[in-house]
Amino acid sequence: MPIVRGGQRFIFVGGKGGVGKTVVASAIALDFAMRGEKVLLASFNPVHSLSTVFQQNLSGGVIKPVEGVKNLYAVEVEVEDIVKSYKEKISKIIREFLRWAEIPIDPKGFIDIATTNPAFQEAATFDKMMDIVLKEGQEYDRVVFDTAAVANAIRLIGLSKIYGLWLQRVIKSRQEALNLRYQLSWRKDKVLEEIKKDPLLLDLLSLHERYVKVRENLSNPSTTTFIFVTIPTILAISVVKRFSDMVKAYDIPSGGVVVNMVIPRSEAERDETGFLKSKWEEQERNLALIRELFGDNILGYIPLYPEDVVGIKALETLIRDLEEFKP
Amino acid sequence: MNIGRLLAQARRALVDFVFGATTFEYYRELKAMSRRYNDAIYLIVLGEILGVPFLSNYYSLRLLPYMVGDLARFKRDAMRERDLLEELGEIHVH
Amino acid sequence: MSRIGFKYVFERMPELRIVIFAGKGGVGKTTSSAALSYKLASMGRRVLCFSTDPQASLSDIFERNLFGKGEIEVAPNLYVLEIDADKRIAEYVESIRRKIKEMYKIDEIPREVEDYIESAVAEPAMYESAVYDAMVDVVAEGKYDYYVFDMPPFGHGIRMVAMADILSKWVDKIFEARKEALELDAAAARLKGEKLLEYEDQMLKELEYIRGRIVSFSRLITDAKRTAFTMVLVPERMAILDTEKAIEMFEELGLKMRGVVVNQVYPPQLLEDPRAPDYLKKRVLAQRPYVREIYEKFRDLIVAVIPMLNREPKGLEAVRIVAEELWESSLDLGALEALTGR
Repeated sequence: MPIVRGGQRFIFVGGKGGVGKTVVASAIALDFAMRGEKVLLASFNPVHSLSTVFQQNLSGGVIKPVEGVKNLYAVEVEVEDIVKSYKEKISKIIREFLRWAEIPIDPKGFIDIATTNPAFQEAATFDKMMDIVLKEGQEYDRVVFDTAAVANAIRLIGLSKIYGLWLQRVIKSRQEALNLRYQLSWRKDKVLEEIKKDPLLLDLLSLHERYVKVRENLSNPSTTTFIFVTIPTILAISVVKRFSDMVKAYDIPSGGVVVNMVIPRSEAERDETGFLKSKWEEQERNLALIRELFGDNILGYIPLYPEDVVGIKALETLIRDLEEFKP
Repeated sequence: MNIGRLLAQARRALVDFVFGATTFEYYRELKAMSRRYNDAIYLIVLGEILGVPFLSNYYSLRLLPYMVGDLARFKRDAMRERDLLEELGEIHVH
Repeated sequence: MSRIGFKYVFERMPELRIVIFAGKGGVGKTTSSAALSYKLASMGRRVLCFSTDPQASLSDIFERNLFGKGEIEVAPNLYVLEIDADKRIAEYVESIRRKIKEMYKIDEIPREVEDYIESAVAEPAMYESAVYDAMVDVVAEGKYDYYVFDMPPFGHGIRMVAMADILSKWVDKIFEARKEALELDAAAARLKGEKLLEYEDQMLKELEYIRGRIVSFSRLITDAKRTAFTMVLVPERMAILDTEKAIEMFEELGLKMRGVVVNQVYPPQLLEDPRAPDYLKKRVLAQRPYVREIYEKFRDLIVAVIPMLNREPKGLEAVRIVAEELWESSLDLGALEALTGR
């Protein structure tokens, strides 16, 4: 049986920093590919790690086939191109505005401050994610997303609700503004022509159309599922719990929890330094808590390996362990 | 009756009368330019209200109260002037 | 000198008052800030430990619910602040609404203005900005001898520095445009013998206030004498790459990273310990190349090394152990150098 069993096409893998999301996402993708499905693994991590896990160069923002695995493709998403194209669009708008206003202000300064915003990376990432859902979503059997830290993952999906509302408001504002223009104009038929072709409105409308389609997909539990990865330390558990609550608040279909980096009992028992043993005892308490919190939603456990999980063989071992390993 | 106020009123009437056409033109130009500088600011901070998707920031909200009063005027000007200038442009060309 | 630890940082920086721990998620920023705060407090200084992490980990570390409860004393002289940024934003927005109603003598906010407010609040960077603004307040109040902050784990962990820069340009540009507008107004008014409305000056005053906040914030994080900006990392590939990127960004902005804290290093003695199982020894060995890489890349910056604990870093007892290691690391540069030996 595959790791993810609900038949969903879009699988998001999230969790706090350092819990091994990339490795788990890679394993899930590999699992499907080995079963003959055509899979795309997309990484949104700001520091890309797919290349390390698969030991090949997967960077560059384009989809590449993964060598050594049939049917598996990967992309380490770059958002620089979106950021750039947005900046260009905004530049145009500002220049036009300043021109008709005849102000002797250097547009560059204004363009800079209007287009440099830290929230931007998030918006651009969200945009790229939408693209993948709509386009690649149709070309692949499965798309597995490795998201960045928890907060970003929430923004990626959960804030889509807020993003939709914002978009609607901006569109309405634009329509009202254009209507006002019509009211104030003398050459009404000419202005009407232009309003119909208003590039800003057309852009916004097509963005909204895309958004609606994406949202339909993301909130549908039969097409999308969200997997959380956690490790058995109390600090990480509370994060997953909060994350889980937020996910419910935003209507995101939750697909279960993977508990990673579990110290195997056999190793702990063999340890006389006390190092593993005391950690293991703590772990047992935390695992009980995890079971209590997530019960049937636990997809599986992954042992803490002596070495980093790197390469396809190691991933295959991990897939097997996810199915069979019990703490 | 307040003499001071009467005098101020008289003075204003005189200034308005003496205020010749050219000075008035100049005055209008200055005010128009000033409005436009403000409009550039409004665009950056409040662009969304015109449907221009600029992202705001934490401090934009602090500036908002000072812009609310001029909002209607800004929208009108932003949506009207292009028309006007094009008009003038066309007349010129022909 | 081979000895490392924050003890030596404080000796080298007599005016040090603010320590900031940055780094990606899961490396131990919050644990480090809790531990350093603890140590300073135990030496009789009044310390504020302020977490900007939206994941409320200080509550987990100190095993108390501290979230949104203001400055709580968790040990003698040790105060912890885990702010509820959402609440702070809501209060801020409410004050803006009130101001609008007062200024225009209206009972209701016009719909489009309300829409704007709602959009602004939903903005992803709003959260961070609210937190940084709170940092400025807290330091300005001056109630403490030391302030220890951890950074939110967004982006490369030092995004706040870039943000300060961006906001600073934003306010300058708008200020410039506003001044031009006012000068034109003044010239026009002089023509007519009129006086400028008081109202108009207020926006400039507001811009000056905003600029002041941004400058305070910038100073807070970049003051070479009073602030120590430190990156925390673990001996793992991603963390090392992230740290390199952060240092690069710092340098581009003309700033100096004070140091680097290396967390979760396996004590090298474990390899010799006959009681240690192979499994554990393998883990120690697997980590070694990364420790080596850190030593080679960041040697001059390493200010402390925290060994892997055999327990979870929560509760005051665990915090105390980490505190001792942060203050004077048992694994010093000599030990690290030995690890790089052939």
